[in-house]
Amino acid sequence: MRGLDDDSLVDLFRGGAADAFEALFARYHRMVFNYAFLMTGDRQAAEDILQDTFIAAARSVPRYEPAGRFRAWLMAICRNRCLALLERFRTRRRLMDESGFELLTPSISSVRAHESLARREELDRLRVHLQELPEASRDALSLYAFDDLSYAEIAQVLGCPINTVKTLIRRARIALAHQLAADHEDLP
Amino acid sequence: MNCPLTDDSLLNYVDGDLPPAQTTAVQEHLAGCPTCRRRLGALEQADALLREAAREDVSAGLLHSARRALSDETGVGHVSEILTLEEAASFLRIEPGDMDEIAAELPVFELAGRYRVRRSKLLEWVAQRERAQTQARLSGELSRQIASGGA
Repeated sequence: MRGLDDDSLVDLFRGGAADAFEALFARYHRMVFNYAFLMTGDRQAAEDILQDTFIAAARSVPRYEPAGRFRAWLMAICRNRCLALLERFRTRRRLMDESGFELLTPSISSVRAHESLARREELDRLRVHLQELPEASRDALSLYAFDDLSYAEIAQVLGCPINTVKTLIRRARIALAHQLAADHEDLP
Repeated sequence: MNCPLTDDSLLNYVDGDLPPAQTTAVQEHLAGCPTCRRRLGALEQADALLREAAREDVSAGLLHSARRALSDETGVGHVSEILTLEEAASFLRIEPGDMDEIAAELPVFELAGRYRVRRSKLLEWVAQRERAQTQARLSGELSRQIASGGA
């Protein structure tokens, strides 16, 4: 089954092979989870989005048109969930600000035990900086983070022209570098 | 900052998108400019951290619960079109060991490390076999009638 492409697995799943969808889950769960984590900056939220995305995809498979775009289609489902959640975050933050209560800090921490504390702190700082970027920049950058995704696929997920994607990503990479450089200037 | 290198030029340099002459010029500038070396370092660090952040592992607990939720969604109440050979034997009400011989006559394929067959192909095979048996029986009867008529 490893040799089967995404559309063949979708075809098998449509034919009734439930484990074909399990193979798609095995192939893409990390990408979906990590994109959601980069977008929302909240591990718990990313875990919920991972589950919701695949269940929604399984339900929507009859509407998927096989054209070698399963990955972009799946990531677009994930993105819709991320955007809806970020909107809920914004509403909650506004309500909490008005009420004077403090929001809980999102669970951003990396869990990879083999990494040094300094590296984990760098990654956590990166996640905080990502949240400081405009949403469109963060969105493009969160997809750019995956080596496998081409500009064309990112454009499909975001629903905009490739040149717009390239511009968004360039600006976001520069903005992120400025934030990281400022961190180093602040360090003792 | 008086440096002639813009962020865009530095990014093009990082991405290897500059023509050779400009690449050399950037390298010469970097050699004498600690500020731009730091800017270059920040750009490279941003990319490296981003790629690393995108490779976060999914916890085993989450994987388990997501798989279970997914199998509830995809498995319940579903009549499978694709059967393992054991399921096909059960479908035909024969012993699994007897499937080997039959499997040789079926378009069997491998999926997830197990041999499988489509239910529709299995039904076609059953129908063909029944037709062949009926023909054999009729032709046997005909032969007997001809033989008895000729006697």
